[in-house]
Amino acid sequence: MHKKLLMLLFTVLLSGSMVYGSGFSIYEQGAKATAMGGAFIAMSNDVTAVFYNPAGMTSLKGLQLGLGATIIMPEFSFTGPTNVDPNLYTEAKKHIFPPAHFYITYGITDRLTAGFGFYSMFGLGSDWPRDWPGRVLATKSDVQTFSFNPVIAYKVLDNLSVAAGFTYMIGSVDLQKSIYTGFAADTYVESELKASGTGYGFNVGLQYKPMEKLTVGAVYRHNVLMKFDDGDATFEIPQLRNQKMYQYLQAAFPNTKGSSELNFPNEIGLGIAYAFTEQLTAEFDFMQLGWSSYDVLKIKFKEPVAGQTESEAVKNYEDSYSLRFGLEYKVNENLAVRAGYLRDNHAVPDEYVEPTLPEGDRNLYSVGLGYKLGKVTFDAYYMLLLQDDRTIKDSKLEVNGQPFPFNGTYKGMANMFGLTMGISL
Amino acid sequence: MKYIRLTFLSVLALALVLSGCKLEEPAVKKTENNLNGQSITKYVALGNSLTAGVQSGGLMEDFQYYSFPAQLARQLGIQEFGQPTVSYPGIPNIYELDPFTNSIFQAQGTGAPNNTTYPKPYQNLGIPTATTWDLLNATSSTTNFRYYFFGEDNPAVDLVLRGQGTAFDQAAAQKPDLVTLWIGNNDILGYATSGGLKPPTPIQDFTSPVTGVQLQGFQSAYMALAGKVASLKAKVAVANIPDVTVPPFFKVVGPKIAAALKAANIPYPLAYQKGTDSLTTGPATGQATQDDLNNFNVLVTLVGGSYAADIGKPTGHWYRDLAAMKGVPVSALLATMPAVDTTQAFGLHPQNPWPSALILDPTEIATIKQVTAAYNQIIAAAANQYGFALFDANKFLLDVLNNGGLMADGFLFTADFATGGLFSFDGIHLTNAGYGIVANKFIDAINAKYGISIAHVNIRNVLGHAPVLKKASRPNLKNYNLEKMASVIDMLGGRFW
Repeated sequence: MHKKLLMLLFTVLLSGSMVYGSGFSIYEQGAKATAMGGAFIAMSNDVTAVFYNPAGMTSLKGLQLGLGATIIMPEFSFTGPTNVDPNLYTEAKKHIFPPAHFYITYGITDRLTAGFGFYSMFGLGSDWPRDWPGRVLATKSDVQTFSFNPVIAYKVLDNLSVAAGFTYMIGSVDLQKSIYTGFAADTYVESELKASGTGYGFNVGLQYKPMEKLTVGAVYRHNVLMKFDDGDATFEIPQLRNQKMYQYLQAAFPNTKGSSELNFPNEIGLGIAYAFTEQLTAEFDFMQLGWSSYDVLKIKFKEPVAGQTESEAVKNYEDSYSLRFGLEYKVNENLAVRAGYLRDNHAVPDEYVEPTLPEGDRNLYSVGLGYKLGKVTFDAYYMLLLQDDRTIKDSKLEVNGQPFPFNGTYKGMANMFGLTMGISL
Repeated sequence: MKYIRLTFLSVLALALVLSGCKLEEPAVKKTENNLNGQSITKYVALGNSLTAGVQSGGLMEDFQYYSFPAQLARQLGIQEFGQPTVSYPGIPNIYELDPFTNSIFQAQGTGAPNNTTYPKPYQNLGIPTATTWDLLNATSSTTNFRYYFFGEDNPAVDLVLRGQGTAFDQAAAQKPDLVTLWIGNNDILGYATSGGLKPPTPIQDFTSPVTGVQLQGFQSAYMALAGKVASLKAKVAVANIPDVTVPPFFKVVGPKIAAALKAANIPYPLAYQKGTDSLTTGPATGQATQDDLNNFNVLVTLVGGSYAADIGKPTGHWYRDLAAMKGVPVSALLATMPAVDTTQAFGLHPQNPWPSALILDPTEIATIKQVTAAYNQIIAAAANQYGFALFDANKFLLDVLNNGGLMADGFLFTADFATGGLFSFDGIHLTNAGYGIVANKFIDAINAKYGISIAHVNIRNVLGHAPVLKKASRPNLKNYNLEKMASVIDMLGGRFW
C-alpha cells in the first residue's frame, strides 16, 4: 500500500519521463552538465555530481541542495509501412515530459562527503493513434523509473577521490497495443499491461587530477534488474454483433495478472576535462550503455491469454555509446555560459526498431547559463535533439510469432529545457 | 555589466530560435490520386451480389459499407454513393461463426431496408441474383431473368431498382463518368451451386424449358449490355467471371467426408447420383473415392455439410428435406424414384446415394470450366471492342489458389474457408478485405487503361471491422415481403445472391 501510494504520488508529481539518450535512458539530470552536452564526469563540481560522478562531491563543502527539472518536448513520426503505403505519414501525439531531480550533499569531514540523489534515469513514452497501421506493435507506451541513490565519497589523496553508492529504483510500465484476432473474428482487442516494480543496483565513481589543469573521471553504474510482479493485464473487447464470437473472445482474453522482468543496463563513463584558462574549461566524455541486457521481454500471465501463459518479444538491443563534448566560459565570478554537443548512437538494431521506442542516432546541441546569486545558483539550458532519419528496410518484427515487417522511416526530434537551482548552506 | 547582458540576451535569443524547431511535416501524407487532369465525380456500379456487397450470405449495412464499389468510391473522394442498405442481421440473415463449435449459424432477427428514402436512383446498382440479361431488362421481382427462366420471383430486384426502370437506365440517368460492370457470375453459379441441376445460361438465344419464354443467351445479352454501357461515354471497367469451383463453397465438405470415411475405415467410395439422374430409372452410378474427394475431382457443396453426418446411416433425411422444399409428401416424392431405398446406407449404397444436388461430378466440373471460358471470351471481346478496362477476376482467383494465397498490406490471404480472409462465411462472397482487394484490382485496371493513378485502398484499414452493436438503429420505412427472400444457400434454387 505504502509503495503504491508513493508511486502514485510521484506519478502525479512528475508524470513521466521520456525517450532520450540511447535506448530509453535519460541523462538530463542537472542543468549545468546538460548545458555542456552532458560532458561532466570529470568536472563534476556541483551538487549534481551525485548523479554524474559522485567522486566529485568531495569538492563540495557544507550542506548543498539541488532541485530541478527538465522539460522534454519530443516529436516523432513514422512514414510507412512500405508494404501498406510508402507515403503514409503518422505523427505520434505530442506530450511534454518533465522529469525532475533532487540532490543533497553534506561534507562530513574534509575528506568524507555523503550525498543523496533522486532522479528518473530511464523512461520512455510514445503515443500513436489507435487506428494507425502499427497498432498491433504499439499504441501507447509509458515506462517510468525513479532512482533513490545514497552515495558516499572519500578523498583518498588530495588529487584523488572515490565514491560508491546504492540505488533503489522503482518503476512503472504501461504498455498498450491492439491485438488482431485473425480473419475469422476480424476485430481488434485492445490490450494494456500495467505494472510497477522495484530493483536494486550500485554505482562507483572516481575523480583524479594528475595535474592542475587536467581532471579525469570515471563512473560505473551497475545494471538494475527490475521485477514487475502481479501487474494488471486488461483487454478491451468490442461488443460484436456475433454474440458467440464475443463470448469466445471474452473467454480467450481474460483480465488477469502479468509478471515480467526488465534489466536496465549498466553504464560505463569516462571523462576528461581541461582548464585552458581560469575562465575556459572543456570536457570530453565517453559513455557506454550496456543495452545488450535487454534482449527479450517476457511476460508471464496468471491465466492463459489467447491460450498462452507466456508472451515473449524479441528486443535484441545492443550496447550503445555516446560521445559528449562541453565548454564552459566564466564571464565573471557570477556568470558562466556553456555549450555542448553530443552524439548518441542507437541501441536498437535496425531489424528490431519498433514504434514503442522510435530511437536512433542523434545529434544534440546545448547552450546554457549559470548565474550565482549569493548562496543560490541558477543553471539553465536549452537542448535540441535532432535524430537522424532512420529508414528501416529489413524489419524482423513479429506479431504472435508471425513476421510483421514494419519498414519505413522514423523521424524524431525534441526540444528540451531545464533548470536546476542549487543552494549552498 | 553591459557585456553580461549582451551575452545573456544572445544566449537567450539563440535558445528561442532553436526551440522553434519542429518536426518537418511532409507535403505528402499518404499516396494521393493523380487523375492527370481528368475528373471522376459520378461513379455508378452495375453488377450482381458481388457488386452489391453481399457477404456471409446476406446484404447487410455493416458489410455493404465495404462493398467494392463503396471502397472504390471512397478512394475517389466521392461523397454521394448511395446503396440499398439493410439493417442487421441483413436480408437474408447473415451467417456467423460459432467459434466454440466451429460451425456456421444464421444470425437471429429480421433485417430491413433502411436507405429507401435515398434520392433515386442508387449509385450502387448491383442487384443480388442478377444475370447479364437482367441489367438491361429486369425491372421488378417478376420481370427478370430468373422469373422468366425458372418461374421464381426475385425480390432483390425491387430492393435495388425501386420501380424506376432497369439498372442500366438508372445508371444512364446519372450521367456517370465511371462505370464498373461485373456481371455474368450468376449465369453459371446457379448451375454450380445446384450441383448441376439448374442449367447455365446458354451462349446462344434459347427457349426456357420451364416457362417456354424466349430468352437471349449470354452472347447477345452481354454484347447488348456492353454496347449500351459504351454509349455512356464514361470510363468503364469490367471484370470477368471467376471459376466458381475455386471458392471454398466447394472445397470444405469433400475432404471432410474423405477424412470421415478414412477414420471409420470404410473402404467404399462415396456413391452419388450422377448428373441429373434422379433414380427414376435405376441405382446411382457415380462413385467418388477418398482421393477423388481430397483432390477435388468431385466437388461437394457447402450445403452438403448438413448431410455429411448421415453417411453410412439408413436415412431418408435428404428426401424428407427435398419433399418439404417442393411442398409435396415424402411418399409422393419417393413414388417418382422407384430405385430409392432409404433403408440402405446413405451415401454408400447406390440405392440411397449422395444426392446430385450436393455434388459436382467431373462432367459437371468440366461443363462449368467450359462455360466460364466461353463467357470470359465474350467479355474479353466486348472489353476489347469498346476499349473497357478489364480486371481478370478469373486469373486473380486462380493465382490465389495456385500460389497458396496473396499478400496484401502485409497480411497473407488465402482461399481457405473462414480463416483465409478472402471469402466470407457463405463460401462464395468476399469479406470486407476481400472486397478491398477487388477494389484495388479494379483500380489497377482503370489506372492502366486510362493512364491515371487512383491510390489503393489501405487493406489494413479495412481489417478489424466485424459488425459491432450500435445503440440507435435506423427506422424501417418500407415493408418488404421478407419471407419471399429465401435463404442464400438454398439447396435447389441456387438462389445465390
